[in-house]
Amino acid sequence: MRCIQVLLISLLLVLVQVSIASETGLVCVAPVAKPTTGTKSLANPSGGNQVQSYSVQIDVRPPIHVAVDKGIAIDGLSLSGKHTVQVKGDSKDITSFHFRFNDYGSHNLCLWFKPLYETWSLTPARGHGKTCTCHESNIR
Amino acid sequence: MAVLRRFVIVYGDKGLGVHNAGSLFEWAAKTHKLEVMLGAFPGVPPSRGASIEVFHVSSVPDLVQDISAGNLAYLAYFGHSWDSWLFIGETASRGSNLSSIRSETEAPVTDIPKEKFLPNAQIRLFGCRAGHGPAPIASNLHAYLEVTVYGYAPPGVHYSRRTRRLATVSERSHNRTLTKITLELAPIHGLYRLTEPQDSGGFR
Repeated sequence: MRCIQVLLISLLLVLVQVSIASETGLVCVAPVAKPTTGTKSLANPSGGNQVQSYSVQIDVRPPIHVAVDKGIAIDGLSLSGKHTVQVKGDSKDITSFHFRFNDYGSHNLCLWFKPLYETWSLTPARGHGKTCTCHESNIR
Repeated sequence: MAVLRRFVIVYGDKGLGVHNAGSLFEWAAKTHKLEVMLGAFPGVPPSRGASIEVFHVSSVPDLVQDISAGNLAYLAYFGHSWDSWLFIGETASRGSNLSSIRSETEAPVTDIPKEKFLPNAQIRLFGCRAGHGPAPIASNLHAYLEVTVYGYAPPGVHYSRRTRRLATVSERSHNRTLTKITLELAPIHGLYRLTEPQDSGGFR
């Protein structure tokens, strides 16, 4: 009886570990509007921006082209370990950095662009509402 | 007869979309008023006997109006900014931005009446990168008004919770490093403590 109990507990532990290992993270890359004409201001944050299109690459996956009208999800990312993000604008390096999902306390992250400052931010997707909405059909 | 010195703290519009800072600028400005009253912000002139006022501004003309009484010993700005601009207003109108030129949405620093400032007055710009670049807005203000102006220089300025007291930048990041991407800069000092729960939205 005791042997069976030990066996069941061991099996449970294995199942839990397998469950954890199978979970993955997702980064939703928010759309980026095209540059606009006119002076940059709060009312026209994309005014005068130079970069016409961006691409994002995570680790060694193929780069994805950032859309102007919808978010694109990069799914199946390991929750353990460090990931590398590279952002290019018009094929030129813009920024790169590392991140870990553990640092954000979330499996769903949002990579989004601030046109006023032409900078990128990575934050938990929770609470980003319209900024970071990635549908299943846009999973890469 | 002694001059009644004025300490004026202004905060700009929240911003739109992903740049919407919610109430953060207002809270930071009001927190700073307390700091000024208590002499708790290093480097800010003593405010004893002075009036300390907080105003919301949406344009350069608004700012000019709020300093029109003169006798300015101290002026602080909380809001959006970047390099050569203060992005004050979120509607497209004359003077939405403070910069070095005049355009449909920009007003130059020369629109700010220098005679309203007392000798040895000080200006602090609590916005992103107002001290950065080849011609930062902080430098332009200093050159024209001939008063001391502080602005954050790179690596940058970023209202973030990493420093002890911060008017937050981005929304829910709380005590996390706000991503390696953002131009997070080392502020001159720790900044502002929020006096109310953090609002949503982000700003820089």
